[in-house]
Amino acid sequence: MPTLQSINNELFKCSIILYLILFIIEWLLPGFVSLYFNSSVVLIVAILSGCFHVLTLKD
Amino acid sequence: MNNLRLIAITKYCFWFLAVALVIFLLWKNYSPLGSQHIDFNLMPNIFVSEINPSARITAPFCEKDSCSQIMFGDPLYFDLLLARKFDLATIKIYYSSDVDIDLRLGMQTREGWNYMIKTPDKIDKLETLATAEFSFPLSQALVNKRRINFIISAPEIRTEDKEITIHKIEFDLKR
Repeated sequence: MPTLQSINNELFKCSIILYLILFIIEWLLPGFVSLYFNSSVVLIVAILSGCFHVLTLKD
Repeated sequence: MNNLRLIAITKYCFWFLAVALVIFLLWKNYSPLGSQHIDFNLMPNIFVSEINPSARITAPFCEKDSCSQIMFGDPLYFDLLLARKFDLATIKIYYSSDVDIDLRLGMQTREGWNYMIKTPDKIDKLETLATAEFSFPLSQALVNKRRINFIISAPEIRTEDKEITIHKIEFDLKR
């Protein structure tokens, strides 16, 4: 379980940073990201792994 | 120890995927190679806006896989979104008309009503269906937020009460 939590932490860090980078790029250059990739996927991954992290904190 | 290694490996995998995605986006947006082909079959398209104004063209009528719109006013406009920098656009308009009609296409070159209007470089006719091919140097286009405005014009529609049925527009963009 601690291993899974650590992996989840890494996933959360990576996905939230990636989403912020994509968000800023899309804001500066409209269409740069959205023409080729749906960045909501990264946000959903970040939210899910964040929820998993909060749930495991209680344990 | 094994757990630490597993965590490190997954961490590097995540970052590798993130970097790969950014490289993929950079390649798609700034690739120095290649071309892009866009088929605009009159249905919503990420690269081509709908043909407007709606007071001069009917809404798309779709049957099986093909759609058509009847142009009964002149001129019409649409926007083309450039995914990246291109030098040449070859545009083919598939249309049909009961009578011979002079179809023109223009590309906006400056702010205001400034269009480079061209007659077709080539017209292929197959019974009632015709294909008009135009080419434009994109270096002269007015690019506004990655979009270029085009005009479809057939002056006879205004003066002689004719109609054109547009079936499809194809774009070939090259560097």
